[in-house]
Amino acid sequence: MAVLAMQSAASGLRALDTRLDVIANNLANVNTEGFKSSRVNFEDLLYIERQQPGVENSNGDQRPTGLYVGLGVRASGTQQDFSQGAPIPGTSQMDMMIEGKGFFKVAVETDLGQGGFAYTRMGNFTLNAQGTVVLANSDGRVLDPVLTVPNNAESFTVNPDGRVFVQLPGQAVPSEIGQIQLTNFINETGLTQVGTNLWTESVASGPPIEGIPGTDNFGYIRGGSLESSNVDPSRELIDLIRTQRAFEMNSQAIRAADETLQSVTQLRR
Amino acid sequence: MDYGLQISASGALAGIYQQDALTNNLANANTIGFKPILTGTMQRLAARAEDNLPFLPSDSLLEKLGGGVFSAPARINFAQGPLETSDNPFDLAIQGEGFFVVGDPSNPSLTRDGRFTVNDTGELVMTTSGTPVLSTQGQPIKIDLAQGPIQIQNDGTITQRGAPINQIQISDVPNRDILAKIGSGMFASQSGSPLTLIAATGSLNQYMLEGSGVNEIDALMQIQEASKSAKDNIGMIDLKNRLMERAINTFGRLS
Repeated sequence: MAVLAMQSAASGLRALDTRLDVIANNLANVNTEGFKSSRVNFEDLLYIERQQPGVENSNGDQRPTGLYVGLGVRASGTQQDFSQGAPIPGTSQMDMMIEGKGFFKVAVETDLGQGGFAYTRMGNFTLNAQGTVVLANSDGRVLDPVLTVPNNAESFTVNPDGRVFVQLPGQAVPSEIGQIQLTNFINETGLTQVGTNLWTESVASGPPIEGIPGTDNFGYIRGGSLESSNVDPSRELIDLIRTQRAFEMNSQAIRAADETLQSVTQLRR
Repeated sequence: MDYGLQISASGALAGIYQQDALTNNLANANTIGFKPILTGTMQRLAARAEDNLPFLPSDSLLEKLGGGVFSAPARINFAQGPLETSDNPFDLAIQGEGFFVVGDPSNPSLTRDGRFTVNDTGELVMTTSGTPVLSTQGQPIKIDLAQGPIQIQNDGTITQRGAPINQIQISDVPNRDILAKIGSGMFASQSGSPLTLIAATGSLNQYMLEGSGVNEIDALMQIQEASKSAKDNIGMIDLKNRLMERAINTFGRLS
């Protein structure tokens, strides 16, 4: 009955509503460094077989194809786009961005991330009171492996391969204080988003693979720059318009189904 | 005299069915790789002709009327959808004829939905359902992302640092009318038996996705048309109902 049509159109409205939420979040983060845009994947639902194919008619011919009605659509999941964001000049010597694949590893509470670690592309590092390199956001997550900058250091430089040098007073050559390591995942789109620019390991992402920047498939580190958000505002706005129109059309389909049902119910007087 | 009542009822049912199927098309106007269902109607023979019986001379006029309308079997419109660009290396679109082969190697399904990703065991799978994508050898494809960036050529060959590692299968079936939708953008044979696959002519495009084959405006117009047709037929039922009421009350009245 036309009730199915209403369900299908309602499933369209629900899925489009989810897409609207995701587009709005992408647009809100158009200026968030290290942010990766998401998209909603739609898939069609099951189909009801009204008439089986291959049934014989009275002439003994077999019906070649069946009669099917679909049950609508659902948002099957969001998928993140891990493409590179453009470099923007940083304001601090400790700003870093990853050119290529990989994540910075930071320590978090064990109930937030597997093994007490989370991963980020945001490279706005700073120092905490102990001189340890931490993320410059509200939580001050500590970079792993831990780097401690001596309190008399005059400058901070990071090489493309992740080695960190500081200039100490009275010394001609900068001294190396450690090397930043990057982490990769077999399926980075399977990482769990936990907010504040962090991702955590999940069953779908596979275990973390650590490595030296610039080796294997790991990207290089560029000091003094930040990676801008990879949200493309024009694409998001076009998606927004398409979503809005599709929403309107699905609501029209509900109205059409409603009118059909109304005329059925008015049959009996 | 209520012969026409059945005819109108068949028209109303066909209209409502069409509305159901077309609304599903509209709901999937943004589903990657979706192929719309084509609805149609077919004439129903007069009941006695359907049963291979001779027409009776007493009722020759009414009996020779058709039996109304049937919904025609669903067919799928496999026309090429628009190609959209994307930034994901595992977003693939087929331009031209053919399907990706996915699922169980012994009884694979077909799909045009090229949103793939690598799962935690390193297998290339469909993003929406996690179904493995099969190679030209008919086996799941293992990819080690640590070996370098992925390039996929027009014939489905996957290369990593210039070296081919596997090839994605693109196949077709001799007769697409045997395909039925099984949800999640996949097609299987209507009988459930394994499909006979033949080589396909389409070429594969990396960083592209094939949009839904649904034209939203057409879909909405068709829904309204089907709704109107159902309503008109229901109106005819109402008319005949009133006619009968009148006849009963006029001729049946005892003076």
